[in-house]
Amino acid sequence: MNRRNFLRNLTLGSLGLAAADSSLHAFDFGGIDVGKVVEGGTKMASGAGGVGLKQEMAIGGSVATKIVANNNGLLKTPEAARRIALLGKSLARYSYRPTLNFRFAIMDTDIVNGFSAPGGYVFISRGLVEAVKNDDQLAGVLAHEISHITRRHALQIISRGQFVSGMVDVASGSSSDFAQFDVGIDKVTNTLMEKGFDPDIEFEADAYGAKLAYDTGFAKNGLLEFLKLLKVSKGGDHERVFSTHPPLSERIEKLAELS
Amino acid sequence: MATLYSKKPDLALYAEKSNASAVTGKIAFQEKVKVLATEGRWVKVGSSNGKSGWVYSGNLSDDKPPDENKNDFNTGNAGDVSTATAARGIDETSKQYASRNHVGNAVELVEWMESFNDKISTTEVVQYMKDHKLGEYAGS
Repeated sequence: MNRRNFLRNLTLGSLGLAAADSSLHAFDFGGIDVGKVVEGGTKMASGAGGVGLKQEMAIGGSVATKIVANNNGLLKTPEAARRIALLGKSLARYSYRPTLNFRFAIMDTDIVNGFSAPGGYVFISRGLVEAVKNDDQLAGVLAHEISHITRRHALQIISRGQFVSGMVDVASGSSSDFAQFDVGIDKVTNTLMEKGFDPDIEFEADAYGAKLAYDTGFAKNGLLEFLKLLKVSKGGDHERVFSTHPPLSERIEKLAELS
Repeated sequence: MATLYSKKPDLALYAEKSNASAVTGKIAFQEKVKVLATEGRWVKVGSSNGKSGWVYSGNLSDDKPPDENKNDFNTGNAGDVSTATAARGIDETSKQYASRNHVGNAVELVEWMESFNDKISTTEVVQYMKDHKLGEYAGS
């Protein structure tokens, strides 16, 4: 991904440069210093070391069971589950992997957080659903999680490790070295639910998510507004609010630079 | 002149800024197109073999999608027809992982999640998007 181009497009869209006679400049940057936004940023590769869809689903399904087990199960209320699924699937149609079959669910916990697993599994907490003020904010959160999947952030944890080939072999059914597989899954779930991704990866998911929300027709600043809301209402409660993400103030600052 | 890439296979180009207008051609996954004009969230593009038409901007990317995204095709989210993917249940490798790691009770919930989502057809998603004025259905 050319991050400069992405930010340029997002900003242009945000600025509403829509007239046909501006077409030749439609994807030029509109006068804001993008360089200061991406300075020091790391370009994240989109690939994941040749992990195919079957292997991704095996890895993602395993990670999903761990997420569900560690977050008090899923809320099965049909109306709530359907709202999240329809909104999420609308976003997924314009994601970087629009033909992947995404699935969405609500974790039955009052913490405020979201997780995703390879293969299209997206989870947000009941506490988060109760905290958002509107669909723009909810879309911002879901788009962030979708972007982790489409940019294969969790798979890159595996592909960087020495256990990738062993994991792929188990996921393919050609090996029974389960210890190797389990170590890899634990590495991913530890990152997702304990340590968190590197801040640059989270900021990248925030930025791609903001663009995805905008592309789908939601406000570009839904996530930004939600994070501001949380900072005011629950700013000191880092244990229960996006505890696996960078501090709210840093994410707010980065997102504000995109708007 | 800016260039963009199709994120989808057989992405339709339209005569006007509406997916209800005539289809003037289709572009392939990863196909590079030039931006000829923009209006709102719609982009008029031209391909190297002379095809041109309007595309909803969300279907295009400014970076070329990787080859491995081809693995996603036909997994159920691609077109405007009903979802094709039947609920097959969680992968056997995942079930074995859950059993070994004492989270086997979560398998049923993840399978419920899959089944619940897979029962929602693409037609229902499109209707939701029309009702909420989203994406290329904002004008419908």
